[in-house]
Amino acid sequence: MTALLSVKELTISFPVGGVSLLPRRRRVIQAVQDVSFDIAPGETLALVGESGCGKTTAGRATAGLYKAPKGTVSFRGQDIFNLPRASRKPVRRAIQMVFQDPFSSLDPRMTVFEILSEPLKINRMGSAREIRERVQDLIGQVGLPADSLNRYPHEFSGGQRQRIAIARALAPEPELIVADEPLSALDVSVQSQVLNLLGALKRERGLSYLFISHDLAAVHHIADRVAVMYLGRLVEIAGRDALFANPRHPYTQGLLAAVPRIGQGRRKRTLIAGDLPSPLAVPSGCAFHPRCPLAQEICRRERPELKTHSDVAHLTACHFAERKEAA
Amino acid sequence: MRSNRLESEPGPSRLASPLALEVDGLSVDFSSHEGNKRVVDGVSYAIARGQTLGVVGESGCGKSMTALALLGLVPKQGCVTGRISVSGQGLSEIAIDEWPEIRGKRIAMVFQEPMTALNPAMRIGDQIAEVLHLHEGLSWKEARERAVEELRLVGIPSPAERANAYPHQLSGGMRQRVVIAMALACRPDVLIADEPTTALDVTIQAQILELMQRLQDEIGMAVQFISHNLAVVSEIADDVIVMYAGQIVERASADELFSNPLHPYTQGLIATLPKIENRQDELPVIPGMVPRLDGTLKGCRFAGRCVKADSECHALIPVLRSISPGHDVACHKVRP
Repeated sequence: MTALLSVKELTISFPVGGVSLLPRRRRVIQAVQDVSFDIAPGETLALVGESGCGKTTAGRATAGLYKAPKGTVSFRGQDIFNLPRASRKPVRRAIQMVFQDPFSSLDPRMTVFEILSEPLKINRMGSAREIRERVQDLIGQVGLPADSLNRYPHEFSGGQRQRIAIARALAPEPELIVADEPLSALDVSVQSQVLNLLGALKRERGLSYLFISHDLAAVHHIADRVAVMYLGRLVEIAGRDALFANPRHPYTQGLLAAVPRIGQGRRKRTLIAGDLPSPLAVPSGCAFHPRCPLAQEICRRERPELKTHSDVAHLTACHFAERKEAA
Repeated sequence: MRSNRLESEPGPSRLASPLALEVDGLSVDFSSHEGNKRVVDGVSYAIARGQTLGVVGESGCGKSMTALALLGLVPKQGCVTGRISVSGQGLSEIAIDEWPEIRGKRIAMVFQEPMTALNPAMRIGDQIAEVLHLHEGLSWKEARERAVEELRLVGIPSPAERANAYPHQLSGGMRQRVVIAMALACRPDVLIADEPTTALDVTIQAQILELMQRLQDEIGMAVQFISHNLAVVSEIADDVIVMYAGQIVERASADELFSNPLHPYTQGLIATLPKIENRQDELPVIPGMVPRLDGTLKGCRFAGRCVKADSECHALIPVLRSISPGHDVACHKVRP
C-alpha cells in the first residue's frame, strides 16, 4: 500500500502571550507533537479528540496551511512544505478543505457561481464555457437546486451552505479532502444528509478524507481508520472496528463510554475524572496519567511510545496496553 | 399519563400540587411587516417534582422560545398567550416588576454557553452570592459563605479559593458547573436547562449530566432539559416531548418514545442518527426543510416532508391525542 498522504513526526507550536522582549521567557504551546499517520488512496482517516487536543491544527497543517512546521507532510511522496514552485499549485489543488462553520467559510459577497468557479479559474481548469458547465455539474452532485448559481450564501440554510462548501472543495478535483468538524454546525436531520453525501463522493470518486470530529457516532459511520489525540499527541490509532470493539488506551475507552446512546436510559456513567490539563503545562510522562484510572508510578515518569502490540495495525501509547487486553 | 393528570386537576392549590410546572396552551406570536408568525403554537405539558422532561427538536422548532416564555424573557415584539404555573401559582397575570421574585428563585435557567452566561468581570463567588443576596436577603458576608458551599455542591475542587476566580480562569466544564450552582442557589422548583452540554466535550458532558442527576436527587427540582441531541435526552429524561415547527408532535415516557416512536418526524429523527452498534452504509434522511411559519401554512406542519402524507394531512391540522396510555401523537396516520 503506497500512502496518498504521509505525515511524519509533525510538531507544531505556537508562542503565546504576545511578543516578549526577552525571547527565552516566551511561552510556547505545543499544539501537535510528534504525530505520524498515513492515508491510503480512497481511505478515510478520522482524527478524534476533545477540544484543544490539536486535531484541528494537525488537519490544517495537512492541508498546508502552516509554513514549515517540524516534521514532514508528504503527498504522493512530495514534501508539501518544500515544494518546487512548479508543483505547488497541483499539490494544493489535490488537497482541499471543508470547514466547520458554513456561515463563516463562504464569502457573503460572492454568488454561488463565483464561489465555485474561483478554484477552477485559479487552477486554469478550462474555458469560461467549460467552467460554467463544470459548476452546473457540481451543483447537481451535491444536491443543490439548479437555480442556486446566482444566489448568495445567506439565501441558503446551514445544510445547503455546507453543500456549497463541499462543492467548492470538490471543484478542483482533489484527491484528499480535509474536513474539519463538517457536521457540528448542522441540525440532526441535516447531518445525515451531509454524511451520506460524503460517503457517496468517496465511493464514486475514490476520494480520501481526513475527517476531524469529536462526534464518535459520525466517525464510526464514515471512517475506515481512527486516530485518537490527547493533548497534542496520538494515543491510539487503529481500524474502525478494532478501535470501537476493542479500545486499548484508557482515554479511548473513557471517550467511548462517555458517548450518549439511545436506549440505555438513565445509567451510571463511567467517567473520566477531571478536565483536560492546560496545554501550557502538559503533565510529565504519559499526559493522561492525572485522569487515568490505571495510572502507576511509571506513567508519571515515562512517556509511553505509540507502538503496535498483538495487532500490527493497532497502535497504542500506553504502558498497560497489553494488560488490558488480557483482562 | 401526565397529561391526564393535568386535565383531571383543575386549579390545584399551590402546596398540594405535585406538579412543579404546568404549561397550558402556550403560544408565542411575532408580528412583522411579513405578517404574523406563530413560533410556539398551543404547547401544553407538565413536570412533576423530581422529574425531568426532555424537549427535543431541531433549530427553529420553538424549544428555546418556550423556555424564554417560562421566564418572561420573550423579546418585546413577541406576544405570549396561555397559562403557566409554577407549583400551582399562575405566572400569566403577574406584573413585570414581580418577575424578579419568580425568575432565579422559583424558576432558574442554565444556558448553552457558560462563557456568555457569566459576567466576565466578576469573581464567580460574587456572582453566586449576588443571587443569594437578592433573593434570600442574606448579607453579603453570609451570601459569600453560602456561595462557597454551592460551589462545593457542584463538585468544584477547593471551592473557597475558586470562588475568587474569574470565569476566564476556568475550563468550559467548570464554568458550566458555576452556572448550575448559580441556578440552583435558591433551590428553585423548576430548572430549565437549554442545551446545557452542547458546548462541552463528551467526557465533560458525561460529568455534567451525572452532576445534574445527582443534584436533582438531592434538591428534588423539576428539570426541563432542552436539547437537539436525542441520545443525551434518552439518557437523562423521564418523559420526552418532540417539537416540530412550534408544536408538540409527540409525547411519551423516554423508554416508550425511543423504543416505539410513532410520529413520522420522531421516527425520522431517530433513524437519521448514525448508530455505533448498528452501522448502515447509507443513513435514512428526512427530505426537505422546516416550513416557513407564516399564516399561509395549512394542515400538518410536517406534511411537506412526510412520506405518509396525503390530502387529509395537507388540509387538516392534526391534534395531539392519546394513542396508548401515556403516549400522545399529533398525526392523522397514527391511530389508537
